[in-house]
Amino acid sequence: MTEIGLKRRNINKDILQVIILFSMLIVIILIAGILKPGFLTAKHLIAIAHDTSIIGIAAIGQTVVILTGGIDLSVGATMLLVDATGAMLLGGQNRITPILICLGLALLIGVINGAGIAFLRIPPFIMTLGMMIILTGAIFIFAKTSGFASPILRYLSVQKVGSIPILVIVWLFLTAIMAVIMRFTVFGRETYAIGGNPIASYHSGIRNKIVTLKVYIISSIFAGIAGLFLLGYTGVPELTYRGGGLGSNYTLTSIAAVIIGGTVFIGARGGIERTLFGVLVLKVLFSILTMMGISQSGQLIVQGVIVMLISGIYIRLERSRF
Amino acid sequence: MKTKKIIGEWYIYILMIGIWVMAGLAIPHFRQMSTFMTIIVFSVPLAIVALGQNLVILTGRFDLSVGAILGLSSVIASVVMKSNLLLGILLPILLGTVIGFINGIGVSKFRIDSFIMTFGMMAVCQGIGLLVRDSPGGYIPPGYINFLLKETGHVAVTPLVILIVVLLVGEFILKRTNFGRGVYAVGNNDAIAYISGINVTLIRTAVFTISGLTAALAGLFLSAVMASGDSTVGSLYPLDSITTVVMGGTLLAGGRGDYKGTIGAVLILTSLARIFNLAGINIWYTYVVKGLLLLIIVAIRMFGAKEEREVAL
Repeated sequence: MTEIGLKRRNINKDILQVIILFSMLIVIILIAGILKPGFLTAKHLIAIAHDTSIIGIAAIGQTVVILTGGIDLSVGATMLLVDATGAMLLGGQNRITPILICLGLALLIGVINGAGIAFLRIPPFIMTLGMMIILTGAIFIFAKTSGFASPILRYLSVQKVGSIPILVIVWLFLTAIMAVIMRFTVFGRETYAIGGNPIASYHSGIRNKIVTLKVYIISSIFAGIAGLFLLGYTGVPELTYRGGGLGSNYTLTSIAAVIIGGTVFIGARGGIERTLFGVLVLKVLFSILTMMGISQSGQLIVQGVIVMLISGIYIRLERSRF
Repeated sequence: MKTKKIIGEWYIYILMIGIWVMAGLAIPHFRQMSTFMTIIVFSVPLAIVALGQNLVILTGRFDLSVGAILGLSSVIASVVMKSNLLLGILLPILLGTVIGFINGIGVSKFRIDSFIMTFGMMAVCQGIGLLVRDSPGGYIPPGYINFLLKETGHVAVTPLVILIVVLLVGEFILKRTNFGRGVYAVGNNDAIAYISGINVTLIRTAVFTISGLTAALAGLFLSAVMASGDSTVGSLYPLDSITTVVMGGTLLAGGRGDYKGTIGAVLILTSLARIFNLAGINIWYTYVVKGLLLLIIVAIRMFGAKEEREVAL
């Protein structure tokens, strides 16, 4: 097979995968519309998008990490830590310092994750699993389940411009910015290079460790932003621990979204924009499950099955390339 | 040279005795027989889970679903044992084995990354567990609890026996069977193992199946300890089992390690939890300590490893 032939077939496969993602989303929405009249109204679809944006923001960071072949299991815990800390420090007032402290906290978590993985060479999922458990302990030692979001945060998370929620605009904006950064900057290129082949990227002069560090910082910052909006969205801190590690449901959703998008398995051809579809597919499914009255356990099962099935399908698709 | 080798192999037990002596000197309560028995009882489920996890890690993979399988096994036992004790024991075992088998097929046949596969499976098992029982409860027959936890003269015989049997079985499988040699070979280099005629797919599937089975067994034991079923009881077990296996001297990349070190690490981890408890420290500090412990141990282990792949990253 010639080089050009290989490329063309890859492009075809890429288009095919995007079509699959799109049609999956549309089919699911149509089925839901048939099952439940009122699902297919603009108002409800916008509500779903609104509900999706928080985890969508967290999934952006997760995508960047997964592009390098790593994983961040501490996304959910970081979100809830920022959520609780923000509520505690803000106390329902408009102040900038608590917001900065929250983002600083997220930055710190990212630096520790990245440093552990890049410099101490701890495998990514062990580093972030350990971090998740440490944060779980820390949050229940220090945080009180009290406090409120500041009015501005609440305004940004709940209000709408016309009929489109501000949060959705923020989410799409961040996705677009990150997609551009990943495609057209040196950092983005380096990230893809490490994901493709770390040894090759090392020998071509990319400082793998620095890029890895940056990637985990980005993931934590996005988790931090998502945590702040989560606080704004609900108004009060969400501090429930129901097994599986703190915030593991958010972590799971963010990973599942990236997997549905396919970034995990196609390396350099994956990207932020694919995760957008992944998150939407998941949230539409969740909304159907909630209508059917099996929200919590159903969500877990559906996400798990999807993670396993889609992984298998993508790997089959990719292997048939050769 | 020989003493050095012996110390290298048994250092974890030296560490354990050191911790026990220090704790015994500092906390009077720690010197009681009942404390020792509590440590043994809570070591049993972790030791059983760690056996499966140890096999999986020796092949260079991970199983994150052990905790969820454990919880699922415990809730199913708490539902079924009410009507039929035998079925209540067999059903969780069967289910755990099947779940482990699916994990194994996904990892070996479909080549799905082990932590993605088992992370997905973790969610599914948690979901089913919540569906069966969304809060702790249920019925575990007193006879069953009695059989597992009965004390004869302040000594809980059955847990002690189980711990020793599990240790012997684990060491036997790894050191004396063809399967054990296959596990080491696959972990060292699966391409070479394949060329030398080892059925790599079979071994990979088998270790995950065993891991599912051991997690289910641990769930059955824990449901006797708690006298109820709880789907979230296993949430720390993925972390704990990986910690103990790595602490016990098994390489994360696979291929090197043994089970007796893991048992030593299990005893240390359980002792630490007990010491924290006796010292009256807030339970959430154990989370922080456990997480830190895992990271520190892995960091120390990785410090020695010098493969090009790791240097590059």
